[in-house]
Amino acid sequence: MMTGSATAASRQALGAYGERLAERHLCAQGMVVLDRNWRCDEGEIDLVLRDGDVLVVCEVKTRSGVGCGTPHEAVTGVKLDRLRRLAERWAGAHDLRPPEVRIDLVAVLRPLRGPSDLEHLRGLA
Amino acid sequence: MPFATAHTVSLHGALGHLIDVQTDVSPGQVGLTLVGRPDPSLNEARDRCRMAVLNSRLEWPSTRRITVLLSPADLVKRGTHFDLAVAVSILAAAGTVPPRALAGTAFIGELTLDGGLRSVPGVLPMVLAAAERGLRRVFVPEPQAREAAMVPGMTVIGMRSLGQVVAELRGEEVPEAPPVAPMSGSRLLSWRGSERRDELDLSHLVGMADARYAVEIAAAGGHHLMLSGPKGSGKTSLAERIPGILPDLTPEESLELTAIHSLAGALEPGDGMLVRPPWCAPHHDASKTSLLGGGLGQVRPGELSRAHAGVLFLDEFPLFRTDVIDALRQPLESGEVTVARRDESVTLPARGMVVLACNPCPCGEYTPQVSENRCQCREAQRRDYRARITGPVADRIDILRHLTPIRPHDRDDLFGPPEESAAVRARVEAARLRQAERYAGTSWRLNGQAPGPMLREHWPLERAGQSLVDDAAYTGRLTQRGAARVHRVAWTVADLRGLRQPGVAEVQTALHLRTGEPLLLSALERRAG
Repeated sequence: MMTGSATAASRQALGAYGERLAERHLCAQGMVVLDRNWRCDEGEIDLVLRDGDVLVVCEVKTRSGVGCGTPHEAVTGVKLDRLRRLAERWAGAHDLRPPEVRIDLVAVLRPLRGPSDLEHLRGLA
Repeated sequence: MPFATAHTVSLHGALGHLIDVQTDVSPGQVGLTLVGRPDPSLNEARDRCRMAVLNSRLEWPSTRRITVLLSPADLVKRGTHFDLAVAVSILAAAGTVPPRALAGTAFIGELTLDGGLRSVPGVLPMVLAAAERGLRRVFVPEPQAREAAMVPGMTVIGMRSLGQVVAELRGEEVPEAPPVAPMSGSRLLSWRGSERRDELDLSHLVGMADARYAVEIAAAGGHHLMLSGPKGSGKTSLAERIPGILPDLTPEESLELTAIHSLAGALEPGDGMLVRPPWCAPHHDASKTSLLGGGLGQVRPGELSRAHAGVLFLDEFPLFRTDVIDALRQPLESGEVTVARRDESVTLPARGMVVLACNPCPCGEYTPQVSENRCQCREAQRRDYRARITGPVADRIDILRHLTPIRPHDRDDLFGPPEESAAVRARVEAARLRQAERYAGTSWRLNGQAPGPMLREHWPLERAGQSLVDDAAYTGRLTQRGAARVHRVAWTVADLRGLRQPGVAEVQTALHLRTGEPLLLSALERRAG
């Protein structure tokens, strides 16, 4: 799967870069960041935001190439189910009852050369 | 809009339904959903299409949710020929191909993983259906372009790969592609094949004037025929020569037969239109499905349909299974086969001549002449065997002939040397032409297919002839169905002789042919007119 040159540290750096890029993009759209990298025993939420009345749980996928498939393809049905459960857990932990919950995906492609490419998909599943 | 529609055809028997393959490509959880009642072989199209697109160096919308609907959604779709339409419609929805280029065009073909276009059975009936629904252009696998081109008014584009199809749709120069190996079904052996039957001529059969005339009448009117006689009396030899005295198929028959063979996957790439009447001789072990059609999944035409407009020869007829014999009843009468399923009912044409051959007893040696009888069968066995022959199927046979082995003195033919097939074929052709003129505007073409009541009303016998039939029915020599059969055969005898209406002599001949009595010498003399 991983190429030899990609160390754990460089992978983490790539992920962090993607999340920063995503956050900037979403804020520019008028969303408000509520939480970052929130963890519990079931997993992690990359970004929790508020878009008007809607609670948005956002997954950020960053890739440096499409050799192992596009970032979009990495989000499977199982992962979406988990994100839905995590959204519930996050709301419970903060004693919030949002009228609506949405799950978004930000796919970031950062090739070795040239500009990065970002795509925001609203309301997956 | 990320939406496109490509057309293809779904086959239900020889009926084609136009199918819209509608594709939507939009953001969402990545994946390809195929809806609209696909069967398993079609569901696999998802993987074939994806790999074929990627390996053709085209762009697959891998960051999008793809939804493909096969519409109308209530029809069950089967087969692998949807691949091309699915792939093209996805590419159009994704913007690789201009969606407008798909208008009025049908796409037929199976994709290989490297993007090649593979042949599929049933291209001719599919293209016929597409033409009927107003489509004017069709993409098919290259080896089947000739088959598709038989449909008038259709622009046929034969292609070897998905890459070529896409280039053509974009209006670009079509790239080279290696030919795709033809599907299974190459001819391994031609033993007793059609080549051998071309050598068979009616003139080889010396001393069988009666039987040769009976066969000529059967061929001229499309009458079902039963040949009975001990081993070596020439039943098979006679039957094998029938296709040789049948004229070439009419364009209509030719299209029907080619469509049936296309459905059966029995057409070879270079075959083109079938123009000669077919010959089918299934073994007596044959199942009902193989004879009438059916099978798992897609309905395959049986031997009865593959012999459409030709000859179906059932040798050793009483040895066929009882359910097979019974299933023949309805097709013999109506000239079509209906296979009913849970989801669909499929009707295929089956207007061939059926020729049945049987021995007089299980061992095949029995003759009524005691001095020559070498039969070992018990009387009960013979009775069982005969019961199968005289069942309801036999009642649907127009002409019955009892053959006897030729003895040396029979070889001196009373009417000179036997005629060649070509001369007989010319007479048969002329007789068929007369029938075609007479029955113009009706749904049947030959006397053998004409419904009895219609014949009695519009094409009656002369009074004297009719009373001959009535007498025979009154005394029990003929059943009611038998009387109608005699009526038909009498017309054929008259057509062969070029008469305006059957007279007493023609009815007499027809009566003898139906009841199995030997023909009168005077009838044989009149044969050539």
